[in-house]
Amino acid sequence: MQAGSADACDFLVGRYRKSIYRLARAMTQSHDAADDLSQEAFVQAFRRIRQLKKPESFGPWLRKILVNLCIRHSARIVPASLEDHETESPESPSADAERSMVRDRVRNAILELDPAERAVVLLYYMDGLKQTEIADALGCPVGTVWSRLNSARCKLRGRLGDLIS
Amino acid sequence: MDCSKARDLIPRYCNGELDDGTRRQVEKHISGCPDCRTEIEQERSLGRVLGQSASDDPPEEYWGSYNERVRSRSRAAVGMLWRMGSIPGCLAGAFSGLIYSGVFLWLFLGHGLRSVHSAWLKDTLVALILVATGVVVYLTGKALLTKANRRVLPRYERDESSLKRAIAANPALRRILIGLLMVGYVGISVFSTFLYTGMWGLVRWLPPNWVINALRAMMLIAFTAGIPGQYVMTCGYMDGYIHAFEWCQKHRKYLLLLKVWLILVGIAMLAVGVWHLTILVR
Repeated sequence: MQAGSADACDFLVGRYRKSIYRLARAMTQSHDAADDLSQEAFVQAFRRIRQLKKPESFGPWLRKILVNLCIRHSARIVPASLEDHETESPESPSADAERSMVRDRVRNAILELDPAERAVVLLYYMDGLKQTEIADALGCPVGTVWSRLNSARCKLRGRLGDLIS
Repeated sequence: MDCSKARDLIPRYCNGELDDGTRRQVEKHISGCPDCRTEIEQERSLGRVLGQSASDDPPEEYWGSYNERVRSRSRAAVGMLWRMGSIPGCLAGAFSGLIYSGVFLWLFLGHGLRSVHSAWLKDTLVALILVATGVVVYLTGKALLTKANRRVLPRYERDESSLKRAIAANPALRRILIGLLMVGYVGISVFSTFLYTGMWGLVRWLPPNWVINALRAMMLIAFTAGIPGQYVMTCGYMDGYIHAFEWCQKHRKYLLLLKVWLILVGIAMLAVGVWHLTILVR
């Protein structure tokens, strides 16, 4: 890959595209933004591939690039409203109304978090990463991950209390 | 273990991050503590709720063209930078040729500045022309490097015009640069030290304008070897030295000081030259 093989690039895109798209989608709650940012993450990763010391850590490195892109994107874009998510979502109109309502509430609660807290929460609860792995992926100390996670957890419990009790 | 400590550990307990000993301690505590059991339930429940909020994946046809879109986006990024690099590159090349063929001959032949009577104005004009030439040569070099990188670098990295990268990928360029650096630095050092100290008499038969212009040409060679900032700075320094030298000819007690200073500058420049060479050779 580091020699610039196009096949290797295709292989890596094929391998990571779904997980990267899902994380971008969770971070931005928008299909268009996830589409754009996930592709941009690949382009940036391939352009800077020589900076990657260990080829086996391509996945975490790519995730880190994506999270930074998403945080920058969140700083620029005001989070979209609930209705916007629904029009963007490929979900069928016949989806269960209650499930949909719960999902929207959760998405809104995630969107209302600070982008750095949002990244930690999604990597922890959705990707199932350990705190040390999140610290590696975000390039910050484990203590910072811990405090962001605690702060985000308190906010989420406050907003979604009736769903989790 | 008390409740406060257990609550700190509960998220990591639920995520399977605790070692066996700590995990057993937490389990022992929660077996007798209903509050902490509730805390664990809430933590798991939060994980479930957040997990359920994940959006459905896009349909399969979305992924069909995904790789191609990443590829074309990479090409577009390269193309944009390449186009940006080529326009100033072409302009710079044309302008550079004009300056080399015309203005330098004009200066070296000594006809152009004959009509200018003020020495300071003359020097300023020469310095301005040289700085403009330096900028043009820098832009040309950058455009050429971008082009060289485009040929030899992997597809996703061709938009970078890094000198180091081009050198690493192109042995011929490396040899040329080593040659230029050696000529440039040795030339600068010889001229800026021995010329003004011991060897001045040997080249006294040259008209002063030729000597000054030869010095500047050496600066230009050093610049071409890849140190534009140094070129511009050195040009300024050299003008300063020339004036200082002229002044010292009249106030001879300061001449030794100037000579010592120039020797130190020469040694420093040689050291920088050797350093740059080691970067290239490495």
